[in-house]
Amino acid sequence: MINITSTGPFLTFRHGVHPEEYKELSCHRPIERMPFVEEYTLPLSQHIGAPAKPVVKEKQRVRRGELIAEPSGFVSVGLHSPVDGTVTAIGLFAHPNGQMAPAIRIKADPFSAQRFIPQPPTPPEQIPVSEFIAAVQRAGLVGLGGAAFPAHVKFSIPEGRQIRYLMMNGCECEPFLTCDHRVMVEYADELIDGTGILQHFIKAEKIYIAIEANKPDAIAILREKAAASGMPIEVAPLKVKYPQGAEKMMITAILGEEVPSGKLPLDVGVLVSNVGTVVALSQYFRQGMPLIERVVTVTGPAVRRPANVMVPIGTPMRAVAEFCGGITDEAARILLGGPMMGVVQKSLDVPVVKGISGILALSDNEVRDITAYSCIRCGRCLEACPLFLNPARLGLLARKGLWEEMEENNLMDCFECGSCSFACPSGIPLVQSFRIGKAMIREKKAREKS
Amino acid sequence: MQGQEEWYGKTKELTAEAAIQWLEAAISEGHSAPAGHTMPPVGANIFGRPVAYAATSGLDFAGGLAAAGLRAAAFLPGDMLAVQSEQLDQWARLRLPLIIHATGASGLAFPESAFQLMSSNAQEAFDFALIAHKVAELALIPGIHLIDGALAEQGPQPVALPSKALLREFLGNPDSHIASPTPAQEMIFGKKRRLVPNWANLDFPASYGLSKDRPAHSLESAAGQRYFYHHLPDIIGRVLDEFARLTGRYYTPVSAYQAEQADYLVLSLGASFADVKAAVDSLRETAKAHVGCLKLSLLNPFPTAALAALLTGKKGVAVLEPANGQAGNIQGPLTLAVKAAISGLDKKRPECFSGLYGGALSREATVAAFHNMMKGGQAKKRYLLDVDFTRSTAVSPRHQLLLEAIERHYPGIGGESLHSATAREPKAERGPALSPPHSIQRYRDDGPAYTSLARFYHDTAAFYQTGEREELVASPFEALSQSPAASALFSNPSSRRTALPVFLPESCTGCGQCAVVCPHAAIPPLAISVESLVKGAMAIAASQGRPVAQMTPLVKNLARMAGAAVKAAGAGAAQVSEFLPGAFERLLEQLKLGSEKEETSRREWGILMDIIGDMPVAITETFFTGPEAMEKGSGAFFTLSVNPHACTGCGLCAQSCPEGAIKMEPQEPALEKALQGGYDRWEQLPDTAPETITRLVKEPAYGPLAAILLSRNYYQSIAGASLSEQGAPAKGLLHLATAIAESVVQPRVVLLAREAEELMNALLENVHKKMSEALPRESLLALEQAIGEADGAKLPFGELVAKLAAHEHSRLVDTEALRRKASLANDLKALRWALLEGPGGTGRARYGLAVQAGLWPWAEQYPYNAFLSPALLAGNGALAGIASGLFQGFLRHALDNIKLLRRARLDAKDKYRPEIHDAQIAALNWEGLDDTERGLVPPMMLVGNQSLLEGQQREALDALLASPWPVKILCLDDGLADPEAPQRQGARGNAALFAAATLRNAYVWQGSLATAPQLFDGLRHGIARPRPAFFHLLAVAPERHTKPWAEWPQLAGLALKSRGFPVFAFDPETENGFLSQATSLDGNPGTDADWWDEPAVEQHYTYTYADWLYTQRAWQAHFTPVYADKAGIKPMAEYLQLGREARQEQRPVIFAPDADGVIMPFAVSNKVVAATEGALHQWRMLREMAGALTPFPEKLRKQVEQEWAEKYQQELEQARSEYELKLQRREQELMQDVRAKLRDKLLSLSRTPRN
Repeated sequence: MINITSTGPFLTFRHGVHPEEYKELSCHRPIERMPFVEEYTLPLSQHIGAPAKPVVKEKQRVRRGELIAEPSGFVSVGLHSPVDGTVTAIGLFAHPNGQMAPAIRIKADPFSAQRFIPQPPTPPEQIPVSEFIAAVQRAGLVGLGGAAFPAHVKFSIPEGRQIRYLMMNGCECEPFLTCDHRVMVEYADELIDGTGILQHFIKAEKIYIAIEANKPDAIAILREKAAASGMPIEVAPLKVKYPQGAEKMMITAILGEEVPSGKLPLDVGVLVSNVGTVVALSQYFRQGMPLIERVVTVTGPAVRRPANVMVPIGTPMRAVAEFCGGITDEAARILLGGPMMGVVQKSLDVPVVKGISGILALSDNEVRDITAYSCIRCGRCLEACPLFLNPARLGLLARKGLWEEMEENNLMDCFECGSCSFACPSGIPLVQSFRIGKAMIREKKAREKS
Repeated sequence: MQGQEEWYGKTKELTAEAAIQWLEAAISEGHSAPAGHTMPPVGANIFGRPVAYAATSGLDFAGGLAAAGLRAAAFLPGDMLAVQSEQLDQWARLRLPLIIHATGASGLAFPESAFQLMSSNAQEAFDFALIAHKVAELALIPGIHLIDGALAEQGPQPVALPSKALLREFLGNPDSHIASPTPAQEMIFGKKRRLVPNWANLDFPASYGLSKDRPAHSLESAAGQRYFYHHLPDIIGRVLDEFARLTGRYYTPVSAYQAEQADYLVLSLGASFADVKAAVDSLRETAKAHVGCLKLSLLNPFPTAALAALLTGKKGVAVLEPANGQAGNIQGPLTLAVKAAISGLDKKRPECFSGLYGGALSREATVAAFHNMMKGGQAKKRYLLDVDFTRSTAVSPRHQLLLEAIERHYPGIGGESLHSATAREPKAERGPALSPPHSIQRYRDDGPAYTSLARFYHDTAAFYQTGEREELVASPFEALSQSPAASALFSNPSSRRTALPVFLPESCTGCGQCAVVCPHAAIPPLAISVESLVKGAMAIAASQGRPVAQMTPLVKNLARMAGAAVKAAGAGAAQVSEFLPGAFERLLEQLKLGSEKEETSRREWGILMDIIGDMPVAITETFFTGPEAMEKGSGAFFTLSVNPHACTGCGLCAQSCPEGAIKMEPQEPALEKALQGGYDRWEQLPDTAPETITRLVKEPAYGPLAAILLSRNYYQSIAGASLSEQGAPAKGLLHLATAIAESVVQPRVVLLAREAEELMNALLENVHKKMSEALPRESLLALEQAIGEADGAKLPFGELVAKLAAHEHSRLVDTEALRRKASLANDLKALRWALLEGPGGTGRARYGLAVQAGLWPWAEQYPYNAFLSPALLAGNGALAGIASGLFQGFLRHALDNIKLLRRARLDAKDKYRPEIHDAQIAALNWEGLDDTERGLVPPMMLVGNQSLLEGQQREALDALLASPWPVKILCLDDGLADPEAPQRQGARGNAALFAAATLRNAYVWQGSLATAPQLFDGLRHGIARPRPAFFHLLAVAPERHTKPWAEWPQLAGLALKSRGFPVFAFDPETENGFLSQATSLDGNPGTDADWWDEPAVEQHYTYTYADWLYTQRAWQAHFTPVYADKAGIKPMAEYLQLGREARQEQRPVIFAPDADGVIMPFAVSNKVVAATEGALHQWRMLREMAGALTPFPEKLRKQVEQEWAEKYQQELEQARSEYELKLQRREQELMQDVRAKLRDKLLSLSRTPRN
């Protein structure tokens, strides 16, 4: 069906952009462990959905990996202590989203080697799906690609639906970020094992591991491991293009089939999961290690020593930055995530949460406040939009505040990849205005409901 | 020597060292060895000569023997070789044929003045010893015979011992004459010479070892080289040939195995050769590799030609040699020599690889070296074997951090070592790490990384604790020889003990003896009031996330009810849950809280009982019933906890308990866990109240030692268990000494900290005052104007000041003084923090330690550091100097603090005049300090054993004792006597005491734990006084006695009763300076008699020194049981009173238990009698000093008394008359005063108009 050679042509979707990659800053640096710090702040809400509910009290001693907050509903996950230590406070602390949010503070025990004693739960092969879903929820697993959507929700396949294709998303199409790349290279065994666990429940016809072609080492190592696994796995090298890692684009690239507007991958029989999430799945079921740390790429021209760091959740970002030699004075902007979709971070005195895949410090050279000129109707945004929307038109509507018209123009399909803004020669902040538009529409709907 | 006669010509299982000892006893006329290293030889050698022996770790004795024409050898620990190399060069200059057996050599040394052989197994060691003697005697060059340290670890091996005839033929009689072996010798000696030249000869007097000027010296060197060393290779060859002819054992300087057909060779030396051969065999077999190996036996002169011949045409040679401290170089001396040897080869030169290893060379490492060599271009030229700088897998996240940091700072360092071909399997199952004790949490790590206890734990100690030492890597920290204070807290003695103590509170009286005797501070006592206990439990509950809030108001009332509840619980009750719930119930009845509140209270009470319910507590007169009778609610429970991290299971506590309230039980995991839980709880509960301790210190019935140990601040003055010594008495004494030192110094530190705080506050207030005074007070107008300009808005202070300054009435501020005060205040703040908390969290250490190395494993075994204070370990010879230097360092730092205080005291009162005080204070030194200030200088404790009292060390110690500094010397003497020198023991102790006493400077105390109250007073007084003190303490060496070691406290008692180790105190600060008044023998039984006649139930027994000797292993041969024929036996004490003739008919005996415990007479040898008389003599001298033997002359006394009486009378009268005069005057004054006042009053009354 698909012809893959190592030199290409690689699978892809139509449209999209190709920004400068900047991955060489950190892609060859092995994952380093972040040194333990004195205190950890664990916001109760690090995932999409209801915040977790604390199950510890102040002054209580906790072990590394111990549950400190339990899920408070179906769309909610557990939270675990990243260290052996003592709960010092439960209260409001700064959250990376810029607000003060309820969080648990834990002081690390300086005398603990922070050794995690493996205590695996019942092997997944011996439990029914319902228990598997509950276990994933308890393990605090969320999608590590950035959205932090609870993994168990995604893994819950409605009755009667069949997943035909399981896709491991290792595209990492955002410039600068290399954490998924390193995870695939260094945790290949866990990735294959986690895939096996998922496959046990999903029973897909075919499994794809989608990797952009700029990660040949990951492709090579995973091909080797996949062949040995006995599962119908295919490692699919994809063309280096943005937003190759977006679920729908990836599906289009691999299957040549589009996910219709307003539908989910599930509707076309596909389950997509970030590679890091699957590694975490394996670590939980084989060792009992819940999601207490994640790989964060700390990079950018204003970082002294770009690195991929295994950071315990709750570590202050400032400490992480200092571990990487600190942020230089040239730093003009700090982004959480990649340059295309990452959010600007004002303060480093916030903890690393589950959804943070990168800390990116850009210098003046990369950050130019571009003056927005008028639209010259060149159509580059149309060529860039992976969803075939008309950003130019949407942009005009947005300027006029015609939200309803925007909705009619399929605004809600936009997943804010930013390709349009990137492509626009007039520097019009297109995606930014779409975000506002989407928010307005959601607000209006909420009002109508109540 | 054992088996000397019957072993000739036989094969015996012997260690290399034992075989050589046997040889030296057979052929030499004398040798030396470090003390305790070998048994002195007995009898004659095969030439019928006695064998002289000296216990020394130098080359001096053997050199002297050799110079006098005797065949001599010296045994030397390998590491002493470098130290002695200068002496060796001197002996080589004298052309002495002396042999040095360097045992346990680890690295390579290349002193060029001696030839060197290295053996690889016990037979070879024996043969090389023999060969070395012969070579030395022919060549007249000293020889070193290196015995690989790894060989000793291999244990006994079969050694074929030659016959007497063979030895005589091969070696020859030292007195015999031989044909001069070289032309040079022929010119010097003539055709024939004595086999061992008798250089220092009474018949041909000459002087040897003269110093020459430079030209003469170079002549000597050149001549020595050409006429002596030049012949060495030839002589060695001849000797080896002859040895082969006689024994059939053929040795060569380099031996080869499978070398001919090999392309790749490994060159090694020493004991690992067997493993290297095995590696070659396996590679040839499994990998069909063309490999072989070489073994180097002769290191000097280096067999260059032979080696070059063997290496010609080979592809590669890997030289594997032991690392010798400079591992960073990765190219040892052997490699350099081999490279030099092959540099002469033309095209057929092999590539040379260099590998260094620590310890022994393993088979796997050799295989790895071969594999590396055969890799071709990718091969590493230099590497380390069996040492890793990094690892691919870490045992814990913290370990991973260390590995990554090493790799980050030294990229590629992992490549500098060669990993064994068979990769280590990652361990699937690892022993869980014992969690460190709770008290560790009080340590903070704000200092540099190397001082961090936490870092040390997870980088190093944890690996020892869990038995994962093979996972350790050579990190930068491993390059240090230190470990942070108290790291012994991490030791885990559980694998080495069989029993653990269990507390039985029912019979406990709370006397605290168990805590006193435990050497490891493992059984802390605690007296805790009911109120503190419940509050402590509440704190623990909170730390477990189970906060208890409702109980707070109830606690006081509960404590008041406890007395009745205890009474109600009755005698059998033994834990908290049997006492307190009764009180709680009654309290609830009384309070009538309402059902909701009552339920909460009950639930919370449940939590508390969950925490402390099973705590075993004793109801004692001392702590509970006594105080309770005085005031309700003041009674305290007494409890003991056992620290499983520290307890060695020695059983001393159980042994010492007079009531049997401690029982030793087999170590079971459940028991261990329960004890751990109890100990964790103790660590979190509050300490014994200081008032209780103060009260008990003064109570003679309780004992001050036990009293101060009730405080954990003092009790925990030493940390952790000893993994090698169970009931370590020396550690026990040091524990008490350090606990007392803490109890002396800690209160001073607290006072100092308080003063620092007060001064700081005073200075700050002063600064504020100065600044406010600068406001224009005279001109309120100016102030008003200035403030007025502010326009009612809030203004920063600085701006206001600026406005004020614009007005002419503002005053000058002495910024210099302000700055000085502020900086003083800052320094005081820092001082206070350093004293009470400091970077480590436990405050500045209260004293320094210099500890003699090589005595006590518990004191120096890495990675477990038992001390909480800085301790420097050093060999005996250097200790006094080190202590003195360290103290000067401490003094300099303490002076800085005292200067700060002095400045602050003055400045706080505005009395500081820089022009006067700057210079004064800068010049402050020890002499300028008052006694309180001297008490703030941390005392220096010097700890060693009886060897401190000998030789040069004594002189250095005397100098310390004569100094003005607070150096406290603790001489922990084992009190043993040597049957060969029976006088020595008592004499050395007493000599030290007398010497110290004559200096009239140092406080001197001698004694043991047998007299605990005196020990406490002695130690406390000696340590508290800011002057030197000398403590001569008996630290029984239980292993050298016949009694079980748990009985060492009883042994100490016997040493006291038998005058083996009497109590003695000398305080130089007595008023009139009479020696007899400065000296005290209090604590000794029967100071008025020679011997102590102990009244027993059935009959009296007079103890003599012989009873003490009877317990010592070394003296067992000197006591013979008298079964029959009891005629003429005389108890020792009576025997000694007899005259010389009367003694002839009597046999001296002591009465002592035999092996079965039956008391019976034992006849003693003459040596025992001599030793006992010696001890008696010493005892009499002590009594003489104390004035107990010869009383103060009566006449003199009367005269003095009378003089004093008269003087007193006079003074009294004078005082009385003066006093009466004063009284009269005062009376008059008073009367006048009263009159005047009365008059005034009356006058004023009369004038006042009435309303």
